[in-house]
Amino acid sequence: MESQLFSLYILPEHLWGEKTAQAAIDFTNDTMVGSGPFKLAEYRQNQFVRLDTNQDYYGSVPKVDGAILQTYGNQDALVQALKTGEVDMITEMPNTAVAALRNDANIQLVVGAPLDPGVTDIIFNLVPPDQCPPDGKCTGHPALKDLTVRKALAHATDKQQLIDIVLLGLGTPGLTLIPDGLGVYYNNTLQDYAFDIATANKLLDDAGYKDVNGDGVRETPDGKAPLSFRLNWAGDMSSGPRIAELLSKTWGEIGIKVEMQGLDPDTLTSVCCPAFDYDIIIWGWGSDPDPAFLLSVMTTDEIPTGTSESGYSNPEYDELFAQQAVETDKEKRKELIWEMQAIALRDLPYIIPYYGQNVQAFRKDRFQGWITDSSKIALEDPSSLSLIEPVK
Amino acid sequence: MRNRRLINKVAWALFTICFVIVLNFFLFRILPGDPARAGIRDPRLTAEAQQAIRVRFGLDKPVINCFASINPPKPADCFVNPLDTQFFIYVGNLFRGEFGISYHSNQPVAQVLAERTWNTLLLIGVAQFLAIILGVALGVIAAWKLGTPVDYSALIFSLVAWSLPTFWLGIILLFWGSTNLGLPIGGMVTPGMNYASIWAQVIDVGRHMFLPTLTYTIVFLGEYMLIMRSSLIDVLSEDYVLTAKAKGLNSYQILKAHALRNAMLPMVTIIALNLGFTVAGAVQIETVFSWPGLGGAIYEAVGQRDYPMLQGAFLLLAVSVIVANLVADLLYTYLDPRVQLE
Repeated sequence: MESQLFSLYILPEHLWGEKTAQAAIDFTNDTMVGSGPFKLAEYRQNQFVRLDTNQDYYGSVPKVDGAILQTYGNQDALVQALKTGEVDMITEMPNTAVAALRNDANIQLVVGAPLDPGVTDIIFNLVPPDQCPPDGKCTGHPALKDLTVRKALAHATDKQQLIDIVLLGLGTPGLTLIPDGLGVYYNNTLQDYAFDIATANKLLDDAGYKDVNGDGVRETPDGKAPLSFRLNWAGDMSSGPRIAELLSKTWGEIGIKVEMQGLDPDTLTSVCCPAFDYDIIIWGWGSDPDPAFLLSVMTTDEIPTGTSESGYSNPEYDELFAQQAVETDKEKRKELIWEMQAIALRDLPYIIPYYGQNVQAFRKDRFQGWITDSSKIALEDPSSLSLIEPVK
Repeated sequence: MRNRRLINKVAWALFTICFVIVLNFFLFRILPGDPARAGIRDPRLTAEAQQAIRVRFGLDKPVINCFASINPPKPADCFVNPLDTQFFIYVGNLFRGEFGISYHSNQPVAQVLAERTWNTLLLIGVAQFLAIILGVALGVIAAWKLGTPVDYSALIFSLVAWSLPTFWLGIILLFWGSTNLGLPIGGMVTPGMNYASIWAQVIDVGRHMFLPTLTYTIVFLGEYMLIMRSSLIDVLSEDYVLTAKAKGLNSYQILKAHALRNAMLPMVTIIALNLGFTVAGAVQIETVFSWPGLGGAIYEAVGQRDYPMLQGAFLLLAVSVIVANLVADLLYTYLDPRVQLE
């Protein structure tokens, strides 16, 4: 219910009520209608949005006259704009800028879970041959369908190193698609696969994945195919190449080779799903406040729609998903959702390297009253913007 | 005869543009991907909603007879009315002067392109003008003072300027200018300003333009200087320059009457080529300084598979390159009487 309300808006009935679906699509909606504390005053795409305070707002009227949300072409310019005082607050920055801003007397950094928690995931192509969608290619490497191989890869993934190098420490180790930012729905009792190259090697040795031809790369037990996987990532992820590089190192230590290639997001979509024409992809999801959507990503029903990237199919998981969708008792639903996370971590359709944190910053000499102690950080949210007032 | 050659050249230019129109259409459709999914990054978009988007932008129609889509290749009915295929609708609209509606911004492509093109022309036009004047002047001085410290310093400066990575120089100048000169960091205007007069607005835009213009000028100045210098050195070693010296002409007269005009020939080529590509803007400079220009718009449109934007923008680029080359051809006949149109 909460997740449904999240994307439901109050609309004026006298404008929209009588419209047919087609008329609603064609309606240009030039004069914006809303019910929030700010009104849209000016909008220039990719330049800025200027908001005026709604003096007739039914709640507490913001103390500022308005707000301008300006777009910058790159994050370094954004940091510089905050330093020189061209802007009063920034919503994102490169992690490399954090140390410098921390030492600036006029600037306060705020770190916390993002309002819209994002997950970075390492996806395995698991689609079963009998589930291959009609327009799918389903060319995934057969060894990845073996849980032992995925477990070995999990043991050979150094999540702390990924956090330290890719996020410069600003993150927490990941478990499943449900991020810690989702509060009670996040199962914090699960035990992760420890980073241990020896365990990973032993798992592969025992399962018969041996390097028969001595080239440093293991072969499948039948000796036919080397454990060499295609590893792709979305070209618009700045973290993609670094994650891939670090994975290729530790995975290389257990005799697994990857062929790395970044692809632009649309090309990646076309190889990913529902085509399943890949081995491993590094990508990510944004989340609602409710876990229902991220949980649906691992259901069998979503394989043909392209929402399931892994092609994971498990009737037990599907059954739990159906149950949680109709469970009205919050505590019971949480139990179901926790169990689903335990299954997901056991079956490893994904390795989740980390959950990123949001870092934002504002100038202490301009405005005060920003919400900085909430569990989720979003200084640009109207809740914060309507509280701030100029520093006297 | 002269007119016939001229008509011939213009006809070839027009033919090239027609070829580009056809190529543009198929080029972007060879890219894998689906605009109905790329523009809207929401996996929850239902199949019906995706279909509604396709119908709205005419993407449900076959690309051309026999092909429903090119990548992945999907066959379709070959016996449909060709005028009801995406290709001929696109060509028909072009002849009516319609570039279509951007999938992403929902605005007419012509309107978006026009705004972005003016922004780019303003920035790059001023910078190119400065780079040409300064580059030619520096090149002439260096060539005339060949082998002296003046020449060496100008040469080293130009080589360094030419080799600097644009984005790096941009970021350095951005830090320097915003810290020491108090110049704005991004955008083209200060958002939300109410200008007291037109001059206040001009000054505001000028302040925003200063750093990107400086970056662009430095990057191109080096190239112009190097070409001008080497071209002038060649000319100055010609026998007729020696003759001019023997006649007792002074340096200024030799440069003006005998050397410069000949030495300008390679410059005309390189300037015409650069001006053609100028319209593409400088994606890197536009990104560093958040300048709302054409380069950035094209970059975004590729990621969004915004076919109408890409087609419109690439047509604009192709036309400007072709026109700039045509102008260079014509200018050559004026500068160098040996090159005749007939």
